[in-house]
Amino acid sequence: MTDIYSYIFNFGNIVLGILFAALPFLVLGVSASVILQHFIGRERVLRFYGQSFLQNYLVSTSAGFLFPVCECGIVPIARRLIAQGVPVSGAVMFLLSAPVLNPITLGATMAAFPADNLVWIMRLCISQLLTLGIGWIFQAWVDEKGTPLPLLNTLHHEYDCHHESVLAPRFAKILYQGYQEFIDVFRYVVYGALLTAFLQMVIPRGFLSIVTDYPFLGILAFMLLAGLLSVCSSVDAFVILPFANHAPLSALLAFLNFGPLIDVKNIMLFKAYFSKKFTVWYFGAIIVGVLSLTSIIMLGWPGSDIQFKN
Amino acid sequence: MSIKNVLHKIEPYIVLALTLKFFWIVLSGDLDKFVHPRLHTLVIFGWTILLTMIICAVALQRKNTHSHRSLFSSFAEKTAISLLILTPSSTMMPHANTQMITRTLDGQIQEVPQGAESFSFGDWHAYFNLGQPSPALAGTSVTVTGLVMNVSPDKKRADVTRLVITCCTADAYLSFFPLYFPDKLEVLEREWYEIKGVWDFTPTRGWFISVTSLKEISEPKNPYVYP
Repeated sequence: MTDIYSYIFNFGNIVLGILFAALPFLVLGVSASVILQHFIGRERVLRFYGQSFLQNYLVSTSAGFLFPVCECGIVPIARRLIAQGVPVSGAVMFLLSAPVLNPITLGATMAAFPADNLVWIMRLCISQLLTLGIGWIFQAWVDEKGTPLPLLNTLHHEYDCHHESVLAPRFAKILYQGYQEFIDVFRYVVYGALLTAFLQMVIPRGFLSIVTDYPFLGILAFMLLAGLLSVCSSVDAFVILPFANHAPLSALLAFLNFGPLIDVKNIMLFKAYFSKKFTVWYFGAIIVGVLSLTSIIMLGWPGSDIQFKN
Repeated sequence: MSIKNVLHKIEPYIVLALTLKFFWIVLSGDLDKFVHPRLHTLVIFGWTILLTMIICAVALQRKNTHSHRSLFSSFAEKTAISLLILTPSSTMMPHANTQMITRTLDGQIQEVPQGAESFSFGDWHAYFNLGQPSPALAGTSVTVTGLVMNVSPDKKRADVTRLVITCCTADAYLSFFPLYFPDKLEVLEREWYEIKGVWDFTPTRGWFISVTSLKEISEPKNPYVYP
């Protein structure tokens, strides 16, 4: 009986831990989204973007560097960018680069692996290759060809509702809009946290032992672990640190590059913000991209796929 | 007013209750049990913004009496959040999936640092994670507090453990050091102990603590290790 209580309390603690750590990032993202709409405006944002892929790449990655929020926070911002008319490839490149390129994530990776600069450099390289590759696909497919791709889900506050009092001051109205945007995705984060905690309680992590015998399955296992743990990208390097002595570099890099882009709560967030078709294409491209790049490291770089020491 | 709209109407109050639970945990000093201390400032800042937004929502939402969500979805979500609000902030116990870290103890040899005798569990955890312990570690005195688990039937072997949190409770994993008792000792499973002994090494056992004395203690204020 004690064990059942212990499991229930652990489950509650894990869910609360995820919510306490993740919601502030979502709030910061929603705040940035509302600020973009009310204080920066469509024209000013669009002025930075142009027809050139390289220009859009540089703008998106610079924005990713300047917004030190992790994967929960960038989703509302990316959605706002698309809604304001930014090219889809630009928003996609922002989504792909921001969680890894931001100084907090890079600093944490350097701090977690102080003896080997290879880890943060390779992480950054893979992230930028993914950004360029997937961004280029979205530019060629959506921006240039004009392939009809339903992008955005309609959020509750975008319905023709008139919830706010007309007498409320502007600042309060902006905060209220922020709340409405937050509450529209809050439930998805709650579902994501519940699902993550459940999966963590039932799936034994012993499956990670396959990395030593089957490196390719090891990459898949570490991608799965990253998706299940749903840990913030700014600290994931510390999370993977205990595995550093057991896992090949390719598997570590799969964890470090996959986790910030796809995890359970992120999938739930995308469900709220973006259309199903867009989400499937976006996540599909990431899975293929991370698998390909880390497999190249595993196969084509002699000596890199030995036991990595942190 | 329909049930659906009642549920919609109480939504900000439920989120407000969750926010107040968060601040209650902060004020009672228990935030460490959920989130790594280095994230506290950022987390509290974010929740403060959320609290401000919710206050605005509560103040401005009087005229809003309709919802676009299904009754089931709305009910399930509010029930889940309400149960979370009622969950007491207890210490997480190691469960099957947290027992996953076994050190390979290879890599560069790490010299025994100065003042190692006064190292805490967290310090030893960091030392063993750096690489291969120096042979000179054998014989060094060690005093650690932790949760004793995996007591063998003959009560001559056990593990002293602590959960390690790198971000939040979602990534908690178990760090442990093997204990060997020279004589049969009355040690209880899943109880907190202060353990005194010396580091020792044999090829079959690896590095372990040869226990000289142990004292049952109450759970420490901060039971986790934060690397």
